[in-house]
Amino acid sequence: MFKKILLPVDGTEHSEKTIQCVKDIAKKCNSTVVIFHSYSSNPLYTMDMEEKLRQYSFAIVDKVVAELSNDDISVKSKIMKGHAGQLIIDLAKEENCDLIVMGKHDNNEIKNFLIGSVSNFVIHNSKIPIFLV
Amino acid sequence: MFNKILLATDDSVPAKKAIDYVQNIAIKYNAEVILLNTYYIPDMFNGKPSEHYMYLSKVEENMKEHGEKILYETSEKMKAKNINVNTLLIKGPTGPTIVSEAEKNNCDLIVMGSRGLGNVTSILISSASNYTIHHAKCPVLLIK
Repeated sequence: MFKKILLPVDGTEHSEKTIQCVKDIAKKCNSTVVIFHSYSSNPLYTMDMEEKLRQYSFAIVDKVVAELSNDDISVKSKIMKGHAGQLIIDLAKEENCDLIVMGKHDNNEIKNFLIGSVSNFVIHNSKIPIFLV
Repeated sequence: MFNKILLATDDSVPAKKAIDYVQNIAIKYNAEVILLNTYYIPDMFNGKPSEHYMYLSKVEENMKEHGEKILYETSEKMKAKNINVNTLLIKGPTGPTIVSEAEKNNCDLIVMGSRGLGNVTSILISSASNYTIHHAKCPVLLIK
């Protein structure tokens, strides 16, 4: 059970709580963790802006990778460009994950009142269990 | 991290899958499990004693019996694996009951199937799951 966990991160505080949770489960179940971050692009963005976003994404993911590998958890990471929800579903399938762990909230403060739009998309479209922290 | 797990259960396929998950988690974390089943008929006739009312109270009784059966079978299955199990059979709307019981019993994880036996008003996520993930104070594990 829970051999491969998909952990989408966004670098926020909510995401911190999720990471602690994954750490605990991964240690108990001896699972591999796939850390995922996506950034979206816009035709109005300049090359420079997109490059900055990409670097920022790497910084977020590297921090989590370091934190988890410090605890001897085997980690994989992936950064992609596009619609976060769909990418999470596709990646879970591609990597044969058996659990997705997500925060109930995402980065977007306006939509933050209830459940983040990304979490909502994943909840509705995932074929595997979802752990909402 | 998980000391007390609330498993909301009925006869549906995802709920049956959830039982296996809970068993595994409870053994790994040495956690206590609370099994919850709810039954409820919305008060459509304003509680007026009528023929319908008599009929509905009969239905409710059947639902209660059915719930008892589910809880008994599941708890026996878990007891066989040396898991500490308590059962709760509560009359009330499913979603709010799950959330309030989880808080009352200090549960630190809710496990439930994404779809129960309810009407097909929402195909992907049932109203009970939807209510729970929006209102629960603790983590929720949603089994598909």
